[in-house]
Amino acid sequence: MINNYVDGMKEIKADENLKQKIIYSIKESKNIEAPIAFRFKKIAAVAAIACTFIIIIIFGLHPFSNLVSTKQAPANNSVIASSLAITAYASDGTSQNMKPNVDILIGKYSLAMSSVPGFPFKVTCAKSNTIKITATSGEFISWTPSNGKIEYRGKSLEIKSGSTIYWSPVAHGNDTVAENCKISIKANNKTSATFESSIQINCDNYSYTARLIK
Amino acid sequence: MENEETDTDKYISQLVENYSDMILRLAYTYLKNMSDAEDVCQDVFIKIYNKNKTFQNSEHEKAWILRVTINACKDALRWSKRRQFSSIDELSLPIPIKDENNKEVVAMVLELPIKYRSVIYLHYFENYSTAEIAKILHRNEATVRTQLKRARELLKSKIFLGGLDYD
Repeated sequence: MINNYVDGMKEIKADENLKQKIIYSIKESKNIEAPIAFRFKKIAAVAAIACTFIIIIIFGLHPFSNLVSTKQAPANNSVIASSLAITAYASDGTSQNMKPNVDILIGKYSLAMSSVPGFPFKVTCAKSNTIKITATSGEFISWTPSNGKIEYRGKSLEIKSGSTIYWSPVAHGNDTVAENCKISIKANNKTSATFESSIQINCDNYSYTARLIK
Repeated sequence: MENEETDTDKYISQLVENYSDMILRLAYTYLKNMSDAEDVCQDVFIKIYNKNKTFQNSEHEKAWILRVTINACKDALRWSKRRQFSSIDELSLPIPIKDENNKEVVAMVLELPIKYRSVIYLHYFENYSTAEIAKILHRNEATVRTQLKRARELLKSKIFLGGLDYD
């Protein structure tokens, strides 16, 4: 009986196709360089950043001048665009601000990830009454990490500024897995001025990445 | 630079050649679904490669890879439960084994609870001792021994009902 089990399990093998797929996905993963080369490049990158920082200080530029200016509140309500900030969370939990017209790598989301129920992102718009988000595929999910409760919110909903919402490639009750999605974000301010933005989510080798496209 | 790429390619190919079958079998033991097992297999390799961990010997490496695979399988199972999909456990999917007798026995093992089938796999297929299994699964050795004993008893009863010969 044990022999049958062992022989049976021996029949379960990774075929050539799967092996090639694995090799390809390893190469496509972000740390594709050989370990030694990667370490060297990491050191080189740190050195380059340090040098840039020193040069900036020597030439009298304030390194955080841009950040300071973006933190200032807009002068009037019509400048709603600068007060719209979208934060997407990388898989390691760190967040990065996505600003209009800037493509930023925001980490990857995979269906196999257990830490989040979907691709998380946060929309903040201080001067808006409503923020409407619409997805072309998949669906939005609200999640309360403290009690683990999730709520399926469909493809279109209104959210409050500062809410974290999760996009799932699999809509509830539907087995189809979306491979890409465009999420449109519309924020209205008190004077009915509208700012629109959108995020493009694409899937590559079971990993989803997002970028701000507008 | 070219040599560097070649070395990397060789390292990846060797890694996949050495461990893909083992990871796939263990993932299949947990998930009972070839498609999910393949996905986990792919994720595990990416983790292994990116972790760039150094090992004392090949046994140490193998044990660590088994541990990473088990964690990835648990994550996959947790995810399917949280999303309120049909539990992978509840799905009856074809077993990719041609020999009917072998398939029947593997199916019986797969019907056991996860804690038993992982122990069965590590003991009978990977030839690990109960002490080694305890380390890999982060369980007490006495617990592993009890689980192995209970798994055997359950299999015997299944085999008795199925009219097969245990020995």
